[in-house]
Amino acid sequence: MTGVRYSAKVIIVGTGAGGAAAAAVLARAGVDTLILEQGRYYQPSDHGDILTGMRQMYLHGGMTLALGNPPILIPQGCAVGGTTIINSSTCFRPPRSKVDHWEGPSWDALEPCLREIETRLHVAPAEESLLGGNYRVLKRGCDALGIPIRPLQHNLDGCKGSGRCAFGCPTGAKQSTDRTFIPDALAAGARLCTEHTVVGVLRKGRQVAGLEGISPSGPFEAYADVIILSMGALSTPAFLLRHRLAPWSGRAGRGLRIHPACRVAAEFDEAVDGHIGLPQGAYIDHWADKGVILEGISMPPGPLLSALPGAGARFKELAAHWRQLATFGIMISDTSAGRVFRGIGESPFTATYQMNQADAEAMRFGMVRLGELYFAAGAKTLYTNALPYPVIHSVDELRKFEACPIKPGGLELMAFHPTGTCAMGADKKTGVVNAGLQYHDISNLYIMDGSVIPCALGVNPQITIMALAMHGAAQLAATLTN
Amino acid sequence: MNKTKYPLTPAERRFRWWMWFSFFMYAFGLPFFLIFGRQLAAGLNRFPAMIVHNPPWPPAGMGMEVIFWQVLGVSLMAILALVCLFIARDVRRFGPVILALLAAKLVSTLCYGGFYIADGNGAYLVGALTDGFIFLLTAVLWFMASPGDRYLDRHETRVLTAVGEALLPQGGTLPKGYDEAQERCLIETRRMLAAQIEQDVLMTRIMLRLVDVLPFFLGFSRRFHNLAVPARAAFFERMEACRISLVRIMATGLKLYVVAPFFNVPEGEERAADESA
Repeated sequence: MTGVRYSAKVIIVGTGAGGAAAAAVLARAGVDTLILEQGRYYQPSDHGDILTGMRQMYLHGGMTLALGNPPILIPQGCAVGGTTIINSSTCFRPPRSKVDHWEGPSWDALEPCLREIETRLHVAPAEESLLGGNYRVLKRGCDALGIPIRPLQHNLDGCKGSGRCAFGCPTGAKQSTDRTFIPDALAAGARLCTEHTVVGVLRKGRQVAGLEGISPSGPFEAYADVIILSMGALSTPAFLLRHRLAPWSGRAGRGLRIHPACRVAAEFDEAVDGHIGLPQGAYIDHWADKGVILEGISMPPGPLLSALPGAGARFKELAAHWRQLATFGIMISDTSAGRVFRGIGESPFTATYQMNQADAEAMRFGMVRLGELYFAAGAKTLYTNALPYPVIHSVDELRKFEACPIKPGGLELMAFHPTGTCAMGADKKTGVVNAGLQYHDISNLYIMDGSVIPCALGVNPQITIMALAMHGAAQLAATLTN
Repeated sequence: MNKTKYPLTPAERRFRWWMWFSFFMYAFGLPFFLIFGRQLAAGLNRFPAMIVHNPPWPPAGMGMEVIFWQVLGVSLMAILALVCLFIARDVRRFGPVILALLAAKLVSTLCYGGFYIADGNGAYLVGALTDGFIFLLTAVLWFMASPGDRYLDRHETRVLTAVGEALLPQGGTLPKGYDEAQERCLIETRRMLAAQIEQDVLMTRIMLRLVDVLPFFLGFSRRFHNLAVPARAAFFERMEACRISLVRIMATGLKLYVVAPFFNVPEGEERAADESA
């Protein structure tokens, strides 16, 4: 492949949580850094309606699936900012218990990175005025049953509560990496090439000499001393497998964790107006010891209604009263594991994931608890989309749902936080990369994205990914500048 | 060579490549079959005896009668060569002419297969396998290429519209139905499909076709798009409650393609709120 030729000290592929944080650290350290991004660089004024947002910023228009029974949608971002541009801006520190158990950087090593990230991204608990109707009605139920509900921490600066976090923030309040670490990296001298899709690897003996790809202006080749892959936990292992870079241990692509999630909608007599304010404003971690967290999730009418059961006049009547619908999500820390394979045809990856019975029951546990809160708050009807009770009209029916047998295939699921497919490990037998995120098999290749997290965190992982990347990039910068 | 405004899709490019290949095969094969056609069938029948000691297939005839029909066969090849040439030069304009080639290959596959079962001539088996393969490959490539940059062909669009009418009929608190917003919604749906990869678009198209014939498996005598609107709505609700998750996923997927565009209007929330008020 010929065409434009780039060279740099370090090339980073991807501008999501990992790639952008690493780019900022490396560029600030004076390392000549080139960032390659498949998507475009959008400004807040580019963010239009919901479907335009999905088309522009979601990988494959949002149709990225893990195959299994049921198939699970795992939306991925495809723009400068990666998935941080379409996430709900929720920020959690990684649970200390998880950090203490993984074969990666210690808590003490990560803590300064976490602090720096939280400062840069303006991470703070959401203001009550932004929590919206979903929070208001659920809090009523929580107060009645004595369950604590808390505002989530968000990376926001001047949020106006437009409720469009998942489709590109129209006011630029969300401090996604396209608004923070990427501008920081560019200001420090890094170069960014957007709409550059990497399709091949240039080898030099056992090392990776560079990458080749295509851009709107034609093919390109990019050479560097160090390559950092930050394409996400689905694309990175598939890239390794496709280009025969995967380790002999066969670990690349295995151990996929995705935080399966579903949502319950509740119909009230009053207008809830959940679409106004933060879509994911508050959370309930009362059952976190069972691996279940309830997190807010609200959507505009199109995506909201398309996920509700029914058809014809009855469905239309429900649609007419969509402002009376409240929604909240259930996310579980999964014990099931999936796998990523190289993609077929145009697809960069193929993912499989079969939820186990324990996780299905944990999901049902979360749905029932949420249902109790909603009924305590005065809900008329619940929409679970779970068989055999997709619609529940009373607490008695909720009890029947809790007692009946349930299968994973009877649930309607989505997932948002893929991790684990290139896990950190002390050696080749236990991981794909070491604690510095350096690939065990190829010394000039690094992986800095969610794939290196070796477990299901149980919480939204963007801050954790950023901290790991920042820590790894700081070590790399020290090596390169010395 | 493409005479239409937009560049060809990858599927159309593959189909065009196959049409060029077929054109050259038919065009250059034509004189070969005219000269050696009589020996070909006989050679195929003698082939087993040349490599093993098994009894050969029955000998093939080479008389005047063979020449008479051979001429008709060669003329068919000329027609097929022209069909392929026209399509290869402008896939979007002449694409549907492929039905002529598909019909010819389907008939020849069935006839060869039938005669092989009846007579046991090996040449018939080779003919059935060859033409059957050409028929299948051409049909698959055509199916994938046929909607072009419209992503859904006419039939699939009709099924999607039928789903829309079933989900969002006219009347009620929100008086506007899907059929009134159909044109805008279909444009939105096509834009959604345009952002997806080819495999996902293909899955959606297969899904639409499956949903259309699904009523036959549940005792209905009509396809989905021919059912009355209330019957369609009832059928759709059955799909959503089905224990087979694949069927439920189809219902959910199609609902997204209908409901999301319907409500994706400027100031959608306010407008829907006003109407419901």
